[in-house]
Amino acid sequence: MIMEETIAIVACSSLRPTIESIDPTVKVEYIPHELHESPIDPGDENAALDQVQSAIDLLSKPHRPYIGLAYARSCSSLRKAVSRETPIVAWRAGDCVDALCDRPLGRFGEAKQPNTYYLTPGSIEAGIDPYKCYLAYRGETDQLVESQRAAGLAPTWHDANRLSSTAISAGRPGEDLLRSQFEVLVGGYTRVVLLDTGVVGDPHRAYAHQIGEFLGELGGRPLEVEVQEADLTSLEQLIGGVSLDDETLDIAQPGTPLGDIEPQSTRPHPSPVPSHD
Amino acid sequence: MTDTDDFLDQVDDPEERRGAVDHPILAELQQAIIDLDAELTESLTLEAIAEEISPLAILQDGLTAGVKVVGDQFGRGEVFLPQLAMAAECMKKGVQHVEPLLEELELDDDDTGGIVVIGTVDEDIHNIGKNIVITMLKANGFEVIDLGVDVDNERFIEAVREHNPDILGMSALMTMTMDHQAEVIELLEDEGLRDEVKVMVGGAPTSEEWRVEIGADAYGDNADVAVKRAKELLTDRQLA
Repeated sequence: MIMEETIAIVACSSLRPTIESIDPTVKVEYIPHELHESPIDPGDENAALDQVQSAIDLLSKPHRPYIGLAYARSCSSLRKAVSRETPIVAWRAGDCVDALCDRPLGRFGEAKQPNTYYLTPGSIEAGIDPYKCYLAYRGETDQLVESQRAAGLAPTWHDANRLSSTAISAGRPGEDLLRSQFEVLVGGYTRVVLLDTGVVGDPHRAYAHQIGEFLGELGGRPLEVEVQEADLTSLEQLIGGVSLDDETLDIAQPGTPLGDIEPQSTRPHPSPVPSHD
Repeated sequence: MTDTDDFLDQVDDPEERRGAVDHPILAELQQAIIDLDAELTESLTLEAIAEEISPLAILQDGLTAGVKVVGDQFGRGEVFLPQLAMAAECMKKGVQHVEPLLEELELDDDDTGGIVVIGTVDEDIHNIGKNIVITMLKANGFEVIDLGVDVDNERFIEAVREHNPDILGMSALMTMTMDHQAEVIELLEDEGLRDEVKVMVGGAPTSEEWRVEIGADAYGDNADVAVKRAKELLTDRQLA
């Protein structure tokens, strides 16, 4: 008797609350948010590929319909990801925010609006952002973790390896130096958008205002903070089941690296350079 | 390239790297940058100058070596981008005192890197990627003239005329702006300047194929590669 396997997902850790709200039973391997590009850092492409590939290897089974890949396609290293026995179905969104924006994807999977800092409930709990990074240089992450826990959130972002090594290796930069460089890097935002994936609560809204205040101080102007309904269509499809001839998705058959099935282009993939957008 | 640079290139361990200088002040200077202590960096630089340590040694074995350590940590994914930016800012605090002294020296070609004029193209205000590349170029001995962001095509041409750089770098972070890289290269040709300068391109939507398509000389998809390509271009120019 052949045991039919279920769909499995490899996803960004920032999608955990949303995925669990869509289908708490789906099998998921989560990859740390900190490994892909964000507005404060280009990420670590090699580590992202290593971890995604390990997760695919773990989930690859002969009778599994497919492995859904819900990690940042802006990681060009993922073009090398390959499955031995199971098709990989990958969304085309640049990252876990682009995938949830209710806007058409651009050529490189981008859907974010310019000058807008995006949050999701999952990124607040699992992701690294400029405010958390700033607190790390001040040695003050514990206070935020405690306040998030007290508010009923389940923060895991402070477990990020680089956050620990940052705190250890950086010493304590002066406030002027710290502020000036964060202003250069992330002082250009004019708006914060919290994407409501169906699990947004008051603590998420409060954090959106907290980071909005921080970014606004850096930029010297108050920031607009708003909640927008997220578009869960692609994530729900990936979890619920898609057709393997769906032309809106990238589908790599076993043995074929993900990059090999993308349309050929003279401008084939983004590099790990962060953008303000 | 100095003996110290050779050594630094072979050693991955920051502890070993910090030991790779003769004078204790230079080791402290490196450490001040690694610790992101701007004030200490400045005071140690002044102390090193007062001790009559060579300005070139202060720059290479103290200031840039410190940034290199942080740059390597960043390259290995151990620290976040702001750390590199802050280390570069610390370096500036020292460089401002060393630069005037360097200008008084008659340096051999081997003692100095090339000159790079760099900017983000017209209609594009992104600067993070460009700034990383600038930091790494400076840490590797290049003199960098940063034109900033949203640089119109003519300004690149003017800067090539004004500074006579070895390399012109153009960053573009959006698909709708990357065509300006091609336009600037065409302008260089129209103005008879194309053979005078090597052209490097980079930025999220660009690629090696794009470089070939527009006739640039080099493409780097991250700062490490950009520095390697810049060194190769410089060697090409020196051999030509």
